[in-house]
Amino acid sequence: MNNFVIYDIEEDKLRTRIFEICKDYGLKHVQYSTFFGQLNQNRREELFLKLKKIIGRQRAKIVIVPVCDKDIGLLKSINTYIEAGHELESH
Amino acid sequence: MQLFVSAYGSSLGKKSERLILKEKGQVVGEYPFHDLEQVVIDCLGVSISTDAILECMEHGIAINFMTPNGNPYAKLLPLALTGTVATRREQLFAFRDSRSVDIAKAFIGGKITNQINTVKYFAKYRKTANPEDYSQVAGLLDHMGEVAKGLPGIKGTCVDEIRGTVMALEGRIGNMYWECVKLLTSGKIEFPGREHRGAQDPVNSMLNYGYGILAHQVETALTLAGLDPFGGFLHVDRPGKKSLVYDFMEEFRQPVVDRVVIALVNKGAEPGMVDGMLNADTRRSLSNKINERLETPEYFQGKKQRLKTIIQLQARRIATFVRGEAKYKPFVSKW
Repeated sequence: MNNFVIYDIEEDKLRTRIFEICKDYGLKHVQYSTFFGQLNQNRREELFLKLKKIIGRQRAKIVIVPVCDKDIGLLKSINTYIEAGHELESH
Repeated sequence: MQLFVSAYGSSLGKKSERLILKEKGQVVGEYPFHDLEQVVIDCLGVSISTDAILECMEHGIAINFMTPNGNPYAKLLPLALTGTVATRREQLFAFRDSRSVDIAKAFIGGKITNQINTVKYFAKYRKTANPEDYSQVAGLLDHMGEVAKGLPGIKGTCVDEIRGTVMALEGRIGNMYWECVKLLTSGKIEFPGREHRGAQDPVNSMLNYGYGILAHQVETALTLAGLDPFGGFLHVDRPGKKSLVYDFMEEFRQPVVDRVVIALVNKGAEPGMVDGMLNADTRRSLSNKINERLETPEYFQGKKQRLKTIIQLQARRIATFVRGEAKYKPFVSKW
């Protein structure tokens, strides 16, 4: 299932940590604080619990949004940055 | 997914829960261990950290090493996989009784049927396109079928008694098979006939490289099923020779490798060679194609399953067979 993981974290160290974990789960970095990728039910739950544990009582906002295939097909994006690897690909 | 490392001077390391691939100090890929199935290193000058190895073993990811020719020379697997004694003991005992005859004949029977089916598969398009070649191929096919009828009649109490006869029969059919392959690829590429190790021409090199990949796949499957890759039946024991891998590979050579190579050649692929070896691009595209093929579903035991899964199922089947719990039937691909 396609998922967006979106976060707002001020603390640099914590943000890097979250960033690394999202990559561990095979998600792609698509915007400064947005990851996108495939996660099944189990992996999504696992990721959620892991993030929750790491954040503990620190200040953070994280949302994991599953998106259905039909809707992801309607995705539109504009990207005028030349940097490669930041494209949002739908599957 | 499978990771192929094929650039001289790459290094593999671990970061968090990902495998990091670097070339000349630059990160070129990050792969979560969770998504990896195996790592294949097919070039020289690669370094790998112990952390990466440890993590791979904990996730059950095999690390395979091949020379650039596709000759497998080492494999890293978790130690825990060698702990299945009951199967291993029976596997070795089976060599001395009639089980060895049954299974050796099954492997060769599977191989022959797959050879015939592979030729049929490619010949059906020739029927109208090139009737002249087709009639030659059809003649050879008939002959192969005739010779193949001799297999069920071969009888013996252990594989040592029948090895010569079976191998001779296999050899005769093999010759006709490669003759057919030559006809089927004619005009597209020079194919001097089948050569084994050390071949310098593109088609044989591609075949050898493909068999190298298949050997790793097959060996992993056998090890996971608790079998000893060295204890073969049809291939004679020799120190360091993975006889069971060669035995078990027979029924998968054609559907997994030959079909891909012949198709590539017929589609006009131009394999690049450097110093009598395939160049990195050719190796990459070939291994991609073979991996795609391994993911392709085929009908097996009434269900559509990926070829990769079929290899695993068949390996387990060998284990149950040597333990005397079930019969062994080779995998036969459709044409």
